[in-house]
Amino acid sequence: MAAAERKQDDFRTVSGAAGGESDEAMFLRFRDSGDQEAFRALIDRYHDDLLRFLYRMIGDRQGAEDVFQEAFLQIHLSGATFDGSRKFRPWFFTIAANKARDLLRKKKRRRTAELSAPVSGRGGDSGFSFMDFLESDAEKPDERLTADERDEQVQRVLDGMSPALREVLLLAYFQRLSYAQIADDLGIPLGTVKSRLHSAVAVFGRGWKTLV
Amino acid sequence: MGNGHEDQGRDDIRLSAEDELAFDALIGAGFDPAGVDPSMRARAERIAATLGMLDCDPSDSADSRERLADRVVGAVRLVQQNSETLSREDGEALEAFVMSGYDASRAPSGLRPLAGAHEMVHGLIVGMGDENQRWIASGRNVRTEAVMDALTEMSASSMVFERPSRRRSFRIADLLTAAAAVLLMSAITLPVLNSMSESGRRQVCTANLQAAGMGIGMYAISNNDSLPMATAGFGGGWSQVGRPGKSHSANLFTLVRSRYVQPWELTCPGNKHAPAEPMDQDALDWGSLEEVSYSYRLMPGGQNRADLLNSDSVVLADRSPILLAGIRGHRISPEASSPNHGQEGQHLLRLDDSVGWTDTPVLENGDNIWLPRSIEQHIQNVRKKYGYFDGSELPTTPEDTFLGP
Repeated sequence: MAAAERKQDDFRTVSGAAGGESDEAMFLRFRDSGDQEAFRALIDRYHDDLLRFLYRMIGDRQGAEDVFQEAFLQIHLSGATFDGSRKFRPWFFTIAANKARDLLRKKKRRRTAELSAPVSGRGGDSGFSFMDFLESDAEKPDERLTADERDEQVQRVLDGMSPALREVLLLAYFQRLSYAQIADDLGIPLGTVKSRLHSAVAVFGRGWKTLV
Repeated sequence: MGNGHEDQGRDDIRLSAEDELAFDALIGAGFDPAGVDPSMRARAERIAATLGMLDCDPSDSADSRERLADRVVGAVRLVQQNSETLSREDGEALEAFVMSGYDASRAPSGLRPLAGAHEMVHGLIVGMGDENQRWIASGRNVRTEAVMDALTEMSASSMVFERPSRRRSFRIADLLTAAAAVLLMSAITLPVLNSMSESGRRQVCTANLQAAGMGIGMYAISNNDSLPMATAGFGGGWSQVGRPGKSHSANLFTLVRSRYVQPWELTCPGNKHAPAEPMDQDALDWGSLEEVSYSYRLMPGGQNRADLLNSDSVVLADRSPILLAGIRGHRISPEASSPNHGQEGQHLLRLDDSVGWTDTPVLENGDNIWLPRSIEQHIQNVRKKYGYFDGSELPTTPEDTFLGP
């Protein structure tokens, strides 16, 4: 499913009133009263978005499932640190990203030389432009690649990126956050977020174009 | 978010000025190109379509979604239970006591009182005698409970615990938590297990399988009556130990990874190749087939529902003697017993949690636990065709070597 086709509501309802009880209210119900039903509903609500994010961060399904579990364990253990006046989703994604980073650090992932080669180096004086893409590069990949092949290629591009760029790209994409929100979540200046995200998009775009 | 110099070269690519503007507008519109100004929309659409490649289907089926949720809820419950029995301070005090060479007076002052309680319980265990110590070394919870009960009884009779040399008394609550911690930690020492007699090894092995049975039961309760599986989407081959997804032992290892059992509870003291060092916290499987101590039931078509089995179905046994040989193309002896106990026999854990010893791998119903029916039938056919010796067989040609009695 391409980004353009996704409904924005997919990402907004989880924190807002449109999807019924808010994430914040649900989590507080679990934290303060041990309500297992609320906890389970929260797991279900985050299943798709968080697992997508973790799968792309880590690169394998089993690792993503492990970190998914650890992230929920962590919010159970650190529930007291959650400020009820703030949004649950960014707090939770930050915890999950930290756990994913820990796992990646431990795994000491090695990026393949063939990947770092094409995406390294300058993009030229005028910078990398998505308008250089052929239509088929971006919009109809399914016609040339199976879903599994596409997944694998995307993962190879992500594996070739630095952890910092990969993380900011995935956080921004899977949470649909504004620059200000990302800066707030990651505790880095707005200008840094902007330039880092620009780089991340360029590196991902170049990597994808090179591979496909 | 830190990145070293190695990343700088890879990240040194920037967007064109036009793409930067289009991407900023896309972010502002919540990644919906329809919300971007028409002058930049084409670029925004192109960028959004490329980033759309990041989407993926995170779930194979509604069933796997449910299973992951069960796993998360089960893990949180387990942590809740553990935190109710052992506090962080107790864990730290126990560690300090062990690190100080079992002398609480050398523990850091802040932890010394609690470490003293650990020392007291340690002294009790040392005085318990060989048989009890062996049980403790096997990590059996039932014995842990028995010792806890004994301590509670002593408390009820107003007995005061006092260290004669230092005249320091302890609260019974300290001793109880210390007892729990010491008993749990005492099970780690593999070298001790390795020096045991064969009868000791069998006792430990029996206790291991009982613990595994409890773990499998707890896993099933938390996972919709399923037998342990490494990932919801498992369905690959089973022989490549160390490669989850293609390794059946990774399914069994899930019990360790999800903390239903401790690593040593899946380690038979008779397996010389079992990992002697504590395993990496991130381990997903054993490192090689030789390291795996127990053979775990395979299910047809990747199914893992326990309710498909009879209560007396064998789910776990001492490691198979023929897998190592079989998958390497070596000759196999179908009726051989496990190498864990000198090929004298093997322990079997059945679904009803019973653990027993048998000197043959062939069950009452004729089913050989080491082999799938297809190979068993093939062996039977060969035997039917060629039969057994009747004492009159002769070489077919002079070149055919056949040694008589």
